[in-house]
Order: sequence, then structure tokens, then C-alpha cells
Amino acid sequence: MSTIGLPRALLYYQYAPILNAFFRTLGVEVIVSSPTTGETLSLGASRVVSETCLPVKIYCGHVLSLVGRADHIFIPSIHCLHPGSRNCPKLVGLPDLISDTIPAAPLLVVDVNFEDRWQTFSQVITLLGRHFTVNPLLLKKAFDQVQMERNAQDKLLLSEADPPGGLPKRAGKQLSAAAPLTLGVVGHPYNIFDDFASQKLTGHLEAMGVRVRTPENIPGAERWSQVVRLAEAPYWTFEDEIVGAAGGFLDQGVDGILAVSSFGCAPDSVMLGIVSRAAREAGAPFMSIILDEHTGEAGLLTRLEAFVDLLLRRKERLL
Amino acid sequence: MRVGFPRIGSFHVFLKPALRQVGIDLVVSPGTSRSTLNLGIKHNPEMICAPCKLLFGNYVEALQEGVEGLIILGGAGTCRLGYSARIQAELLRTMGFKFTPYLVNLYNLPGDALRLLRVIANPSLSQLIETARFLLVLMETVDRVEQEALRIRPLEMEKGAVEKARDKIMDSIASQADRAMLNENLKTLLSDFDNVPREDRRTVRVALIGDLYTMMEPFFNMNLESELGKMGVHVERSYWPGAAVTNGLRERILRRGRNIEKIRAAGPYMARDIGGFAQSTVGEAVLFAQSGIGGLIHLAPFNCSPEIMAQNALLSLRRKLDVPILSLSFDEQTGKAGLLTRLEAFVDILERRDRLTVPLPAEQGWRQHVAVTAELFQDVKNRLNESLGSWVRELMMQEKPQESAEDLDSNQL
Repeated sequence: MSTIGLPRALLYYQYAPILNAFFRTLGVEVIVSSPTTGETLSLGASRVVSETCLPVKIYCGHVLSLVGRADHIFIPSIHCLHPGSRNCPKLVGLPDLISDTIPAAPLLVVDVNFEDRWQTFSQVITLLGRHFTVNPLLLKKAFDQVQMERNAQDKLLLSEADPPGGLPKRAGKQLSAAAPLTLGVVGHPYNIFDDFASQKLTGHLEAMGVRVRTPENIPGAERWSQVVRLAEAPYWTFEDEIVGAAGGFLDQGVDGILAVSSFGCAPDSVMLGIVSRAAREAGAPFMSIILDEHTGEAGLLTRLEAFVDLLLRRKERLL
Repeated sequence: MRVGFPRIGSFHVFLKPALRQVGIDLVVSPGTSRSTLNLGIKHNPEMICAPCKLLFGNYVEALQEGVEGLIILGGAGTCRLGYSARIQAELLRTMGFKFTPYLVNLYNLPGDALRLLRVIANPSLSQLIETARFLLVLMETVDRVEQEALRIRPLEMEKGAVEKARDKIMDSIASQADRAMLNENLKTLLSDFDNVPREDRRTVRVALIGDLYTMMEPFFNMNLESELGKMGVHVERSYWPGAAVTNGLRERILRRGRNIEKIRAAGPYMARDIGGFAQSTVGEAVLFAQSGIGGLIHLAPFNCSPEIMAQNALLSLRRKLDVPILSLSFDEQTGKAGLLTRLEAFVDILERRDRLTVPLPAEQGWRQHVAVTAELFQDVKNRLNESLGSWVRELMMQEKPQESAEDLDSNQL
């Protein structure tokens, strides 16, 4: 039985359940790298130039930890998921980056570009499956599993239950409705859910008694319509996670918006401008947290506490 | 009609006369300066890249001159410039300026330029063709002037003489009225360079690769080209506006040329077009390295994501092609002294390398010969040591692989 390695970084947080189901159906053993630690980061940072952003450095660390443990390492190159939008250069060039900086890694690359009208979702999945089997029935079964997993994931995320599969569990979900404050956290899942990168940001907030909402708690279709409302037309592939989610949160009347992004992120740097303007117009407090290798837990905690204190005082005054 | 345009290097020198022909008065923002940058910093999101801020400052300064239209550079190319262009037009309106924005896609310049000409001025077809031809000749002339300046700058006897001659030539190009007049004056235009006193000197060749704006705008790159010239370096560039357009047109028909070559050359290091100018940066690096360049300088704005990816590819390229590469990233806080120190160190290294690899001409004096021979001797000694070491290591290693090869043979039998 061949094995496939999934680095626990970047898009893993979105696609883990789908990929797990797919590879298992094909009879491939899935090896997931262990959660990020300081060592993962320093391993990754030693291979790439220092200006590279935090999530990509972490990704390289995860790939390095999989070299020698798996027959293939799965690395997607996602150009475009919604026609008209393009992805961040770093995510598009991931396979090139890895083959340049970690030549020993056995890559399994898949190019996803739905701008190309001949390419469809089922085609991408089938092409990927062909690496392991030629049996059309098995491929069909694997594809059905993927579709089932997609639908299940949507329902589960919207219900605010524990995130599925690869995502870390929410620490204090018992707080739910009784919590006095609701905070909309916008940002990419690989920033919010990576406990090392975000220094357990959601956990800290929940420990303070805040009800945390993440972009996954807003239906995908609504996020995209919010993008159109706030920024005319979508430009980035994952714009819905920031602009769309912020629009959704503001419509729901959350007590504040907290943006989490990594230092030097090209898409986020422009999108946060839109989000902060939208928040100002809606009269909601907005804070942006920028993560990098030097983010310390104590400094982050101080900022979060100050923000939550301000929100509480504001809410009492408004009542 | 008065239309505003941001200042990027010498773009305005060829755009202004060509557009004058169709009745567009191109108002170029006054030179990019510290106050331009401050305007950009004040009104833009903090984390946006410095070229976006500088361009924004340029737009404001052009609008303050009182223009009706404004050309905004952008384009959907996965770089944040494309996104910020949309926000910038909106921002300028909220600042109280009244104007018509004309968005130009940087990644499809010739097509978009023609479309804009028709939107703004709507000239007749023959007029349009005449203007396009005039523009092409102008662009090629400007390219030639720049190339000549880069070539003779390291040879000048009196510092700054080439700069003065270049400015004079650029001014007279900007005042040409039409194609016939330009063709007539072409010879006399370039004669200013011949009057610059120069001495024969050995120079190292260095090529600039990377982001277009950083390469073209002297305020942003701290006048890098002329500083290198003063150090005795013959600078080459990966981007020439005229060549980019004419090659682009020619390649559509002939299906071969520099642009296609460089994408093929980039293949082993960056197989995908990830946006921005990343792939062409890598391709140009390969082509320059193959042409035997002394060294490469990679220019990028701080945090430019396509160029960071290119820089990562350059890491493995540098090892495989054995070419020295200096990566420089620029932002609002780049200081000139620090930059000059790095450049001087790099040029010193290149000169040493150059002397070690190429034999010296006879008239250079015995002292230098002795010094260079000593260096060469040391180098040969080092290399011998290295190869001896690896030879011994190979001998030690040879025991095992031979056995396994025999095993394989017997298995096959």
C-alpha cells in the first residue's frame, strides 16, 4: 500500500476531511504531519528567503518533516477556483517553491485552474486518483465520497459544532449563547486554526467569555454575495474568508471584528483596508492582528484583553 | 484634453510627444519625491507595497495640476497592485477630486494602450496607425539612449557628464513633433554622447532583474543605475519598454523571441506563471547567466509576493548556474548609505572573480600580474585540495557500490 503525506499547513485546514476520505477510499494510507511547533517553523525558515511569509515557512517545515516518511507528498497548485479571481502567487507557486528549496521531496502535484473552461472539479479529482488506480468504479466511488464529505462539512461548520477532521477542537464551546460578547474573527483558516501561528487566539478569547465566530460559520454563498457588495467583484480566490465573512458578521450585528493576518500577506494587506472601512461605516469596532515569527503570546494576550475590555464597556454604555 | 499620468522612469519621454499628436495633453506628475511618498503613506493601508503608495502620491500630484482624466495602472495579475488600483480610484474621489479614471492593464500594455487611445481621443484609423508607429520609434529611441548611457557611464572621465548629456537628449526627444522630424534628427540627437570625454577601462557587466517599477523609477531605487555606473559597472537591464512592445508584437507572429525563450528557460525553476513578473525574472536570470554575465542584481519592493517567490527560485538557480546574485528589496525606509555599502561589496567581489577567470592584457604592469598570479595560485591550490579530497572520498566509497552492482548482475542472471 502506498502512502501519501499531507502537510498540516495552509489549505489542509480547508480540505483535510475531503482529502482524507478520498485517499482512504482509494486504499492509500494518509500520513499527516504533526501539529506545528517552533521546530517546524525554524526548519522551514532555514530553507526559504527570510522575506517569505509565516504560513509558507511553516508549510516548508511540515513538508521537510514528511520527507522520507511518505511515498508522495501532496502539494496542490490552486490558480483559480472562481472564474475572474486569481490566487496569491505563493499558493500558486507552491510546487515550484518546494521543488526549488526541498529537492528531496517526492511531490504529487495537482494544478487547479477553473478559469480554464475545460477543467471541472470531477476532472481534477479523477486525474488525481489516476496516480493510484485505473479502476473507473473505484474512482467513481472516491469521487462520491468527496462530494458527500463536502456536503457534510458544510452542515457541520454552520451548526457551530466541533470542526471536522483536521481542524483543532474549539476550547470553550460551552460558553455559546450565554456569552455577553460576540466577536467575528476574519482571516484564513491556516492563521486562525494553527495554534502555533495564532498563539491559541480563539482559545484565549473563549477563555475570556467571548463567543467566537469564524468565517466558516457563514454560508459560502452569503460570503460571496457580501464580497460583491463591499468590493464590487471578487479578485482573490480566498477573498470570501476576509471581506465576505466581515460583511456577514457586520450584517449579523456582532460586537466587533478581529482580523488575523500574517505579516506581508499581499491579498490581506489590501482587503483589510476594505474591511476596516466597512466596519467604520457600520459603527463596529475593528482590530487587526498581524502574525509573524516574533509574535509572543503575552503581547497578544494584552492586546486581546484590552480590546475585549473596550468592547464590554462600549456594550454596557449602549445598553 | 488634459490627462494625468504617474511618473515612472522615462516613460513620459515617449508618451508625451505621441499623445500630443492625437490632441491629448499628457500631464506628468512632477518628479517623485519624499512628499509624493508621504501622500501615499497617509492615505493608503499600512501594509500595501511601496510602489502602490508612490503611484498614489503621483496620482494626487497630477490631479492637483487640474486634469480631466487620469491614467491608473493596475490589471488583474495576482499582484496587489491590481486590487489597490480599484480602491485608489475610489479613494481619490472621496478626497474630493473630480476626474475620469482610465484603468490600464499592465500585463497587456499594447492592447490596452490602443483601446485607451480610442476611448480618450477617438482618432481616425489612419491617425491611430500613424500615432502607433510614431510611438514605437520613440520608444526604441529612448531605449537606445538609455542603453548608450549605461554603456558609457563607467567610462566617463568627469563624473556626471553622461547624466547631463542624457537629460539633454531626453528633453529634445520629448519636443519632437512627428515621426518624420524624429527620423531626421535621429543622428544628431545621439551626438551629445560622442562629446563626453571617456577613457578606456575594463568594466564588469551586471544585469538588473526583477520588478519593473523598482527597476525603472530612480527615486525608488536610489538612482541605482548611475551609482553602479560611477563604480565602473556596465549595467544591463532585463526590461526595456520599447523592446518589450516590439518583441511582443513580433513574437505573436513568429512564435519565437526573447519572451518565449525566457519562459522556457525559467521552466526548471518556476514552471507556472504565478503572477506579477516572477516567471520572467527567473527566465531572464537564466538567460543572463548563460550569456556569461558578471553578476545579477535582483530588485524588488519589500514584501512583493511574486518577487519573493522568484527570489526563492534564484536560491537554487545560483547554485546550479554558478552566478553571483545580490537581492535588494526597497521600501519607504531604505537608506542610501546602506545600499551603497552593499553595492560596493558586491562589485568588489565581482571584480575579483573577473580577474581570476579572465587572463589580463599584457600592458597592465608586472605588479598586478604578481598579485593576480598569487591569487590564481591560491585558487588552484584550493581547487586541487578539494578535488583530491573528493577523489579520496570516492575511493573510500567505491568498495560498496561495486559489490552491490555485482549482486544485481548475478540476480539478473
